[in-house]
Amino acid sequence: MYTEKSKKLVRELKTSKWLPPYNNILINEISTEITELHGKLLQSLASQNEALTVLQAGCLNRSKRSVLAYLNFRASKLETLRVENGPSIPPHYSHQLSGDEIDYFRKYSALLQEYSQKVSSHLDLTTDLMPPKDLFIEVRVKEDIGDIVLPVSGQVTFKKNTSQLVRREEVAALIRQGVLQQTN
Amino acid sequence: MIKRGYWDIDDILADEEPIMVQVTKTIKGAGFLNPESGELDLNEHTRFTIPLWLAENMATRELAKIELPKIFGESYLNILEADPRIISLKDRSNYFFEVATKLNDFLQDGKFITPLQKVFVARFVHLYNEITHNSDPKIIKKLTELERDIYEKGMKTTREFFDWRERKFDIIRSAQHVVNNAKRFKLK
Repeated sequence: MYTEKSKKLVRELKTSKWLPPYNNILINEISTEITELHGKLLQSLASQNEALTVLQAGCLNRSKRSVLAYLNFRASKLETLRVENGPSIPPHYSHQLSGDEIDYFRKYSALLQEYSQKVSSHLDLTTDLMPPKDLFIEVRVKEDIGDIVLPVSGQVTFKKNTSQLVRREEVAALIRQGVLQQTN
Repeated sequence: MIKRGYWDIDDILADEEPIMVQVTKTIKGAGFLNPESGELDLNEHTRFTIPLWLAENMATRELAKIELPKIFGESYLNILEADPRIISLKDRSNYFFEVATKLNDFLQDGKFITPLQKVFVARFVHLYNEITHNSDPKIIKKLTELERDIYEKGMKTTREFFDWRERKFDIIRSAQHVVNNAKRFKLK
């Protein structure tokens, strides 16, 4: 059957919690298959075999749809990642992606920043819609990350298993990445 | 029920469910659809299994007739109606309800669809109780893809509701999938 490969491709997306590694080989194989099928389609068009033409066109469109949906699904996952996790790709994610996808992520990230700056110089679209109750929050450190410099508070040392009072908006991204945990 | 779009992964996978069809008209050169026969043409009266999308395609052009799959047959429906809640629909088809709605357009006697609506509602109510009373997560194993989606969204909403009621809405949570995957990565 012609569309077995595209079925396999779409199924792969369901097998992993986030995204499976980009399957370049399979996509190339499908594109060869589509070209081959297109050749046959032209032949059956010439011989005026209508029923066969319809079936072949169906298979061809099906393969095309599967590959496009595969790419689109991955792209939308990347957009979600940008919003949830900030402008960097976690290291354990980057090797699941193709070069083009990493490029897409960077450009999307840049666009988002450009838009934010146009609206207002302090706007971050990815933070909460709800206004916070306090400016400061208490956080518990889950991973040793040492000294980091924050925009307003300056240098802060995060040692594992300690609690600290920090400015909320500065550490929001770190909490989403699972490095810190909010306690109050 | 749910109309899904061109880009939807679940819609594509639901269309892959195998359906038995009977060819009503010989098609020259279409033997590739049925590789087991080894013939070049697709002969009239051949019965074979093809994915749902292809079956739909052939049925709309009256090239083939769709047969009602066993999972919607009378004996199966009787078991299902006896107690819809405890039966694992996932074992029959991961896209049980989607396939049923799609097939309904092509089968003349859509008798199987009315009991299925009742089954869906009964299961949905059961699911709602499970979600709001925070019970056994083992229930997931019995759910189809659609019900699992409802379950996960329901759990998330319930949690958010409790947060709101406790005035904890401004707590920032970690993106769960990032954290889970990072743990697995470290083990390697």
